[in-house]
Amino acid sequence: MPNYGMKVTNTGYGMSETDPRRYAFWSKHMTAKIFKQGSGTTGMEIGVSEVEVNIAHGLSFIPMYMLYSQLKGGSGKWFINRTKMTTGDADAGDQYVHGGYTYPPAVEVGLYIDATHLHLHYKTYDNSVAHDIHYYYFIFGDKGGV
Amino acid sequence: MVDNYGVKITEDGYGVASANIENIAFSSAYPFFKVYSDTTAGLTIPLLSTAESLTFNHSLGYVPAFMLYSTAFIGDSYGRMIPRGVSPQPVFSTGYATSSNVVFLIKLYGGQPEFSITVRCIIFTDKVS
Repeated sequence: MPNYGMKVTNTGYGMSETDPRRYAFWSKHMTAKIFKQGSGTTGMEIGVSEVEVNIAHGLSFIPMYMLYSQLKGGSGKWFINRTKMTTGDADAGDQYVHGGYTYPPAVEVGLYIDATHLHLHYKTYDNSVAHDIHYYYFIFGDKGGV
Repeated sequence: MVDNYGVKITEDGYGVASANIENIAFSSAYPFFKVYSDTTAGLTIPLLSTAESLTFNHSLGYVPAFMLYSTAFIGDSYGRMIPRGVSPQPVFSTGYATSSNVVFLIKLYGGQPEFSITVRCIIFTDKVS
């Protein structure tokens, strides 16, 4: 059955539109379905330089994901996904001070996902103070691997 | 209310009763991101600047999910999703959301010439905090 499904256009556009950007929803195009979402807290006590968080997702494939992290407790600033791409990143030794806050990599996060877990790896270059970290994740019911 | 209600649409060739989640085009059992705003803005980074920012306001009253994209930085050729930047690239960027705005941050090393970029910020209604 080639012609089935649902579609809803944006205001001002008719159903004859062929440009998917003119649609609020069109079942012909997959939606990124939020399979699991949640929040958590972790941290690093004085003298501790890294912590890992592993979140089981329950899917049997590598899914798409997004992560937001509040890297400094009480800052109200939630950074998107990773703040560092490789352990060899030369930027890692340079703390970014702006507006009275120290941004990554004072605390940074690397992350990856596999067929069972979303893995978060928080690390600090200043373990003379404790770090309070909050995170929120979205795991989608759509394949993220290649 | 019955516990088996809603809308489900699968990809061609998959039955609604048996399709795995990755073959479901839409299901009302799973929420999806809803776009609150989609804004682009220009940013010129002056000669020898070491850090700049660009703020996108919102009035949601909570910290929302968001995505940032930019056109090519100096020294590379591609528009990309934020965050971006890895050694030995001379430019590093990230972004964060608060309960009133989304902020794009760019940091530069080594004394860069002036260049301009366009940043796209997509803010979703979905709550992070």
